[in-house]
Amino acid sequence: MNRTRTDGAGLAVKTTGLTKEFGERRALDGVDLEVPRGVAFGFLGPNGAGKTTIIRLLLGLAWSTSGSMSVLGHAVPSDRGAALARVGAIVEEPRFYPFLTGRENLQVNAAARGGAAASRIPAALDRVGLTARAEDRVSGYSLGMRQRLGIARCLLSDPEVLFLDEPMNGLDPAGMLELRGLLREFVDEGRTVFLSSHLLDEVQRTCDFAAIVDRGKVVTQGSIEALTAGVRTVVVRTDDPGRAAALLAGVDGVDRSAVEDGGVTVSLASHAGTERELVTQIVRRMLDAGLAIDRVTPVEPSLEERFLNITQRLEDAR
Amino acid sequence: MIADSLNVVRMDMLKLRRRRGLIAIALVIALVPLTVYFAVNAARHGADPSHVAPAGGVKPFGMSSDFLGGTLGFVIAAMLGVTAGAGDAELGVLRDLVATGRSRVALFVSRSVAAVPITVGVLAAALVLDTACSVALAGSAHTPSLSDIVRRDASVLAFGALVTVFSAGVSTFVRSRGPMMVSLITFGVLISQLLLPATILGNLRAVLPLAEFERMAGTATAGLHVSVAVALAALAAWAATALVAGSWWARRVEV
Repeated sequence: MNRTRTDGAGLAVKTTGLTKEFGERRALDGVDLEVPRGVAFGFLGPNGAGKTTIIRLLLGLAWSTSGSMSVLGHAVPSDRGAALARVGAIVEEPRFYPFLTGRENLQVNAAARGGAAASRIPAALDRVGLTARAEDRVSGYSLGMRQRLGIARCLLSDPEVLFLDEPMNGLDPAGMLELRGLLREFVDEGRTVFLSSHLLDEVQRTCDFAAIVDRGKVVTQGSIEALTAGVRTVVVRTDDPGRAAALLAGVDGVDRSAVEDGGVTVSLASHAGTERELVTQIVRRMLDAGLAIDRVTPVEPSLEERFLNITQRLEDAR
Repeated sequence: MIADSLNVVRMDMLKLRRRRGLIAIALVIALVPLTVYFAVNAARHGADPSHVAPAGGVKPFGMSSDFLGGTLGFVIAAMLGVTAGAGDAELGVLRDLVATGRSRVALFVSRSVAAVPITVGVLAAALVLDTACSVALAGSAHTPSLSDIVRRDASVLAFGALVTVFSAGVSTFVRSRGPMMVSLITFGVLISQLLLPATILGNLRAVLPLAEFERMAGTATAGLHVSVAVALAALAAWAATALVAGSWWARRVEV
């Protein structure tokens, strides 16, 4: 079979200048994305940032306005069949035929896939722990069970890439923990997990790489380690957090300051001096302003801080 | 490849069969009016055999099969066709099927075709009842000839099949079954019934599915002079147009 291989052959997903417009609204704006193979890749952004849109484009469910994209080296949409042969996906929430059993729902999807997909049904059900409920109608399934059935449906293609759109939505903490473990297992098996989420903590715990998207643009991407490397945050406990936050917002070397949990969370700019110099400067300014300080505590670098810093900077720039 | 395609059709049929409420309603629509029709006429004949004709025989068979094909059959075919055509989109599972990489057109054709055996099955059950009652309750009247039975039954089944395909095709344009079902039934049953007697329209009425059915079934429509072949071709053209339009839309719609 003659299949179109693109320059993204070594990548699980590659997009170049990908743009999608809905009338006047630009949902994606020149997105360049490179997702390595065999990793968990977080696609992180607030609601409405364009996360679901890019997944729909990659799956050939919607059409881009401009730009190009490939999945597993196959151009989409021109070589959609080959691109999606080894892809599993959950778009938004997993949907099923409520009047069919779990097994029958998988049989319908396996028939559309063809080939060996049907023979993978028992193993897929077993993998997500639904074998005992496979003959029950899906109308009786809980949201957690539907999520697991959605994962089982993904496994029918023996996927090299899984696109999971907000898979943690509606799951209780135990369900989230279970799903996180399952996703890491997939990565250990060499599969690529493309996880879109607005839950920053979840992406940091689950993923190796991430891209941060805001208002249709990818603002940064890289390994989680690299993304959080420049993040320096301290929490200052003071007698007047509101005044302190306002005061520190104007200090050179402070990216962001906000009142959180009764303290002031201060993000230090990565380019402005050492942490010691900046903390000294913060303390001095507060003391000069007559504020009392209880303590200053460093915070472990987090993707959340990085995300908030970036989006805050973008907001300031607008 | 062919085995894979047949398997998809089989699954599309399963999706329809498992909608037990829909199938039950279709069977009720197919069987209950006929049962009532024959039961009432049999009771009336039993009470006054000298003035009321037998419930069965040639004439009641013609009337009941016309009603079954042109009205009940259209409603059943529209219900099942629309459900086949729009059911996946309405439930939000169409995108999961498209995301398998299978051709959108292949998925569309499969679900359109899969509804036909279900419609034919429901109508066949009604035809068995209709034919059995027409023969068993004929009494002193002439029973329908074998050729008459074959022609009328074949017309009902062919009409039902083509209306099903047409309904599935046009339903690809919508994401909700209700409005499309109402529109089709209004057009196919109510508006057609109103337009059919309008002789001023002459042979233009041949474009009405109901007129085409009546011509195929051998029922005379006042002032309408078209051959059975033309009627069948017109009906097939309806279905083909819906299939072509549906394929075009299935290929380009965002799901």
